[in-house]
Amino acid sequence: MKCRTVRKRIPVFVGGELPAAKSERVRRHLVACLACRAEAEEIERARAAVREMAGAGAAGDWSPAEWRGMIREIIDAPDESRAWTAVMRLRPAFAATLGVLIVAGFFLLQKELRRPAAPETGSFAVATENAQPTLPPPAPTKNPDITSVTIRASETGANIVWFYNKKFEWQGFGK
Amino acid sequence: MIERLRAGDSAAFEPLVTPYRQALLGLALRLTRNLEDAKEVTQETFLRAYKYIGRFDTERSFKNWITTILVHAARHHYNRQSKEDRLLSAEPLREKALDTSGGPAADHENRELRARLMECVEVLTPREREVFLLRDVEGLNIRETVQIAGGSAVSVRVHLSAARRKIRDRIKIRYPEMLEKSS
Repeated sequence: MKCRTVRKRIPVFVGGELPAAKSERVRRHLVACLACRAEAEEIERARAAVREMAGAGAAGDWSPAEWRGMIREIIDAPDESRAWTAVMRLRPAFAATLGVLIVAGFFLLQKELRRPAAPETGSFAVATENAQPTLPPPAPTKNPDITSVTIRASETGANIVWFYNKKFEWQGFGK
Repeated sequence: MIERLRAGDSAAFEPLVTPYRQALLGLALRLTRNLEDAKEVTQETFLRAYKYIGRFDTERSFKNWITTILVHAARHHYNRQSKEDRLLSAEPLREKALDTSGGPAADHENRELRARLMECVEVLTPREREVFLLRDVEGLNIRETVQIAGGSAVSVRVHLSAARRKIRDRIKIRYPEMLEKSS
């Protein structure tokens, strides 16, 4: 292993964070290389110096009164998150309800679609200026080759009948 | 204690967090490098811990959980500050760090050591500072450091490596006797 590679790994090596195989290779190199060993020792001493500095204890603290006041403030603080947390705890219930509603809606829709449609005997609306005529159920006709369309004005009650032949060609009208 | 708090007994909160207050304040101070900011961040940490105690996984260590909250709060605090604020706050750092001791046990030497540590971590980027403080000052193992600081193990190792090198360089320049003394 080259010095350049070892130097890169030394800071992690001294902390013991290097994987075992790599660590072993670095260790073997350090035994043989004085310069790299000096580098490793220096970083290790720096770590020890940091530990010494950190061992000087904590700096600053709250006075007992301040501390109690702060704790009281925290406990008494209005907590918006708790309401939200309560809602979030009900998530399974919400999900279950939603699921039931979706399934029920699906079956109702299916049922509605399968229901036989009301007999729509060719009813359609024809827009006119003054009325909205509707087509009444066709009267039974004696001549199956003739088709009639009756338009009735809902306001006046007047009927107009159009007659068509088999090819749906207009044949005439009546009242 | 945690179960009592979860059951709604708020009186359980103080005894639960009191053992960690010094350690958390110390870490916050090293992360923010300002006592007022550190107190603010620590208070925010306790507030969040109280609010979200319901989310704490009892399988995990409470200390690590609350430390994670603190690191996130400090990061949020740091990001919130403008660059100008940071420059201004960096100036009185040493003086403030020296002024923070209050008790009779905190002698001049301890104050000086604390100030030195603050000065050393000043050269680190926020990310390097986080992983360095958690691993080398708080003494957490690499897995805990990754859990708390976030990111991948590789990223943590890379930042840790850079941090150790920078700290060594800083000590070598400013306090060379500390490197000689331990040898």
